[in-house]
Amino acid sequence: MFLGGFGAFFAFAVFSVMFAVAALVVSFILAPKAPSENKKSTYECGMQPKGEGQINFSVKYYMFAILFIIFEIEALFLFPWAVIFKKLGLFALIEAFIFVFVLLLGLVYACQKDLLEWRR
Amino acid sequence: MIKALIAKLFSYFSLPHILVGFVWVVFKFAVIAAIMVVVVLMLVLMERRVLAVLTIRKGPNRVGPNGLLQTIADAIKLLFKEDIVPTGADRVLFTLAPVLFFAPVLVVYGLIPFAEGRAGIDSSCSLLLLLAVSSVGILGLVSAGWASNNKYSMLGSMRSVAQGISYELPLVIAALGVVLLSGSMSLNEIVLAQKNILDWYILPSGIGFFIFLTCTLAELNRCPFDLPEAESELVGGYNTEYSGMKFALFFLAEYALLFAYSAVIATLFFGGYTSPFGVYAMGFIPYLKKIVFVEQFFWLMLKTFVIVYLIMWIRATLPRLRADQLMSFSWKFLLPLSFLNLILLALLKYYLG
Repeated sequence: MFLGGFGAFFAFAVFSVMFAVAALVVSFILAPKAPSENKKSTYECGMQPKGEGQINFSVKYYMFAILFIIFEIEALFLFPWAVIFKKLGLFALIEAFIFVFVLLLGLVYACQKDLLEWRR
Repeated sequence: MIKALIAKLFSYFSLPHILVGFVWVVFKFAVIAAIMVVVVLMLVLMERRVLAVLTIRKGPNRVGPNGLLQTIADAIKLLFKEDIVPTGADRVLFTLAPVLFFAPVLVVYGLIPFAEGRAGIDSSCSLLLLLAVSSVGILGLVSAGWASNNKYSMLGSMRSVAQGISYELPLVIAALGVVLLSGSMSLNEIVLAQKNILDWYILPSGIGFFIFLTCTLAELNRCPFDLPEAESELVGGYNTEYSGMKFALFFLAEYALLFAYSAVIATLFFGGYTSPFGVYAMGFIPYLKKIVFVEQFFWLMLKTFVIVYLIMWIRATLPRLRADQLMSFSWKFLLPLSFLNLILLALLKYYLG
């Protein structure tokens, strides 16, 4: 179809956003509006919150994000390999083993460095 | 059939023919959005009733016959609720977050083949697109946590994101095993490769199914992986500050994703819309042969709802994990196991298939 086969995909993306926005607009029209100071205050424990809401968070999350990117890209590389695996034969089998093995070494290294443990 | 009808209507009213494709996409989107809304309304009620049965309670049984209209009443209530934006919140991001979380779910629905050749979006790499699109929702979680200006929302959303990306990897690699077996990234072709109960990919890829199911539970933030929404620790997780329709969008998207992931499991491992016996009952009856897609839709729904029931059952049975157990379980157990599964499948495919 139009846009080289991805037309329906982009159309769906746009329509989905429109669907969600339409739901918000309908509720904006229908819902009552009676804001007050107490209602708009941040909900924590019933007390006034202390300090900033946008706090610092643990650097551990950053490590997981980096590891995630490495392995996700590896998975992406393996997708075309999986599709034409049959045609490539033994070459594909051995090459993918080496590829996976090298990346698993990285995982073992991260494990040794205690990056995968959720401790301080 | 319907596309031809649209084309006929266009030539009858002498409208430009270029628009037929566009109207066809709009029609498909409307059908899929309707399926999603109906499925979510059913799922919310089903979850409450199933949990009630499993914990020996009654569950909702007042609104409508046997409580059937309960979720519709809930939806209407949420539509008429006041929409509160807290004082310190980032207004734009706060409104954008539920939209970002909800929109990818509908695209995922578009990629699932509900009957032979009947998916909203025809693509030769629909599995890859599906995995890519379904992880866009994580952006919605980050922005929801950040924009709320609330410590609990922030912590909850960071937990959600860490969990989401950690369990995404084994899920993708388990799906890779199925791609390897079928030699195609199109969900439609993956389904057509398992026309018989003996061809179902759960048989060679049982480990893959276990990994996929576990990661699905984590991606959906469901028990036993519901740390981001641990009420006893974090109030309500990333959606603490949300109310009204914005909360409803988060809620809707979560249940819609539950169904979508179950449908993907059914498609990848249990033969999707095909009948387990290899033949369709409607294929024997002359007049019904043309609408055999109705039976295919029925089979997909049956398989999907069995898996949905399994997920609800798990929720009623297992306790919650600890945060440190959660991360090491994914990285130290599931990820190596998924690679092992991939290597075993590659050997199997090389020597047998």
